[in-house]
Amino acid sequence: MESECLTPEWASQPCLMGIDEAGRGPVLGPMVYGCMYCPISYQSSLASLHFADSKTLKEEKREELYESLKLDKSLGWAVDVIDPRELSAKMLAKNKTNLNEISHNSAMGLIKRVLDMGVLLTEAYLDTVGDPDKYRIKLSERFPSIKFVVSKKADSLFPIVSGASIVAKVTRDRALKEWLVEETGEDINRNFGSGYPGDPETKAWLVQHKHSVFGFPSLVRFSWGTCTTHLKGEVEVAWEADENEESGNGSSSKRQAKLSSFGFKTCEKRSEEIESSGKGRCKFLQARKIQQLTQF
Amino acid sequence: MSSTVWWEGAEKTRVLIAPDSGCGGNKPGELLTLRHPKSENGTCFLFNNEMLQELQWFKQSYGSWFLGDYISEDGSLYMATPVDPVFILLPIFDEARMKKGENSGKFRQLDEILFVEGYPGYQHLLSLAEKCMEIVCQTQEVGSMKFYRLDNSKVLAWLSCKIYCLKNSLPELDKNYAAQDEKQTLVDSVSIVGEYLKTEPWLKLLYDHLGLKFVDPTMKETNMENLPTANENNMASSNSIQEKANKKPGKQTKQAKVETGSKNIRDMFSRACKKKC
Repeated sequence: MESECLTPEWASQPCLMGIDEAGRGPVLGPMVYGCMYCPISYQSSLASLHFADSKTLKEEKREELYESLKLDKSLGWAVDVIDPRELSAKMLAKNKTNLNEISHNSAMGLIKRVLDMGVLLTEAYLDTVGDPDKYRIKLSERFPSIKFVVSKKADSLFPIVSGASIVAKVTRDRALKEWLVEETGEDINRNFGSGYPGDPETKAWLVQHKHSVFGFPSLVRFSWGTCTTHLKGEVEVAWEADENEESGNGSSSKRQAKLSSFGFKTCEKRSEEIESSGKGRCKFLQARKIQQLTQF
Repeated sequence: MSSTVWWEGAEKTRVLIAPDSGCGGNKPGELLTLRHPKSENGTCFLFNNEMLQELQWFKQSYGSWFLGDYISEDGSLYMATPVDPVFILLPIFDEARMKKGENSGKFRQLDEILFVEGYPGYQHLLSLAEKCMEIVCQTQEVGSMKFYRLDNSKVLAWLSCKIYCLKNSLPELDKNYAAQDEKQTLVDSVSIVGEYLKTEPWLKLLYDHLGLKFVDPTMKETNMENLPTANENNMASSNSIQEKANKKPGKQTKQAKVETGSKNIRDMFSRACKKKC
């Protein structure tokens, strides 16, 4: 998602970019990184556009500003929408990626995308994620030709970052509003509040939409501590990979919970416990528990 | 949360892995009931596009499948794997020649041989038999008619070829085989091929032919002699609930020793996948 596909006519002039995110803290919905860029010569005009930190603006005002900036030929913008499932997958993977790293990579991805369009970026302004000096050094090593300013409250200090903030925030709000619920057969309420873990409306929504086995709809970030708390006492799955690791350590693996003890009815009695053994077959097949089937 | 009862009345979904039938492969194939060459029990085989396949079953406890947006409760994995039809047809052809004592028996026509009372499925294999049974039979042509007679020396040559191909393949398939000596791999190869052969006469003749001492797989003592490092897998035996138990009369409950350090089929698959990637 970005401004016009064509490289703007002013791209060969020295340009600056602001980058900001929306939806870092919520337990619901995507995290969105947005950027805005324009010629440095246009910078003085930015102040007159009345951008402000998107968090201080009402939704209607943000939408209004978003539409007007899209019409502004002197501005370019782009977004990176990071799906909650992607966040969870990366944060819960065997080789974990933390949220700061995901943020850094998203910001750098936007810079690369705009450079690849042919825009002559010479300056970039970012809100800090983690230590500002370390972040700036990381960015400078990757993009040596760009001067980076990384600071807290960048969205209040720099109009170009305020604009990026609006782009990110409006994109996230719209994504949530239009979220296509993939879970069929479920009646999902769309009144989930702000999505922040402390919001009572969000908490109630999570309780209402919790499933003993599958957890939550895909809108939810499973990697959040909030989810861990809610899912205590539900079905705990014994993963084969975990069991292999545990047996390697010599400790005993935990017993797998049965669905029947959570009120689920199964088609066949005791089907949960059935397993093949390969009994009666040669050593090779028995070791792999492959059984001959006489009736299909 | 109460579970839905959507499955009531519906046919259960199961997961089956089968070879790609290739060209014109829109037909799912048909299930034939044939006699298993070892047990002689009626057994289901999948016949598709001139390929005969046997059915295998694997299941771990507490498993199920994700199929798109749905869950298949039956966590079993069914596998249809190609099987050399010569193994399946061997007992039929053996009986058909009506061999007595030292004489070689009679030549018969294919449609006559494949007429097995109670098992009409064999007749689907007529054209397949034409292609593959010459390797183990003597043939005679009288006019336009062709006659077949199973030949012991040809069978043993064919079986030996099978054994040596398998003996060469096993070390590549599994690290446990790569680590053991060549004779043990030969013994293991024979036991795998033995899954498809009756003890009398073929398995015993095969052992003689290969210069191995015949070992009755049901005798624990001799197994121990041949497999000194094997351990009994008590966990697998005690935990398993066999859905399809095949009981042979007089067969002892103790079977071949479970391979030391072997892993289940998923690891085997994942290892094979890694090789390809």
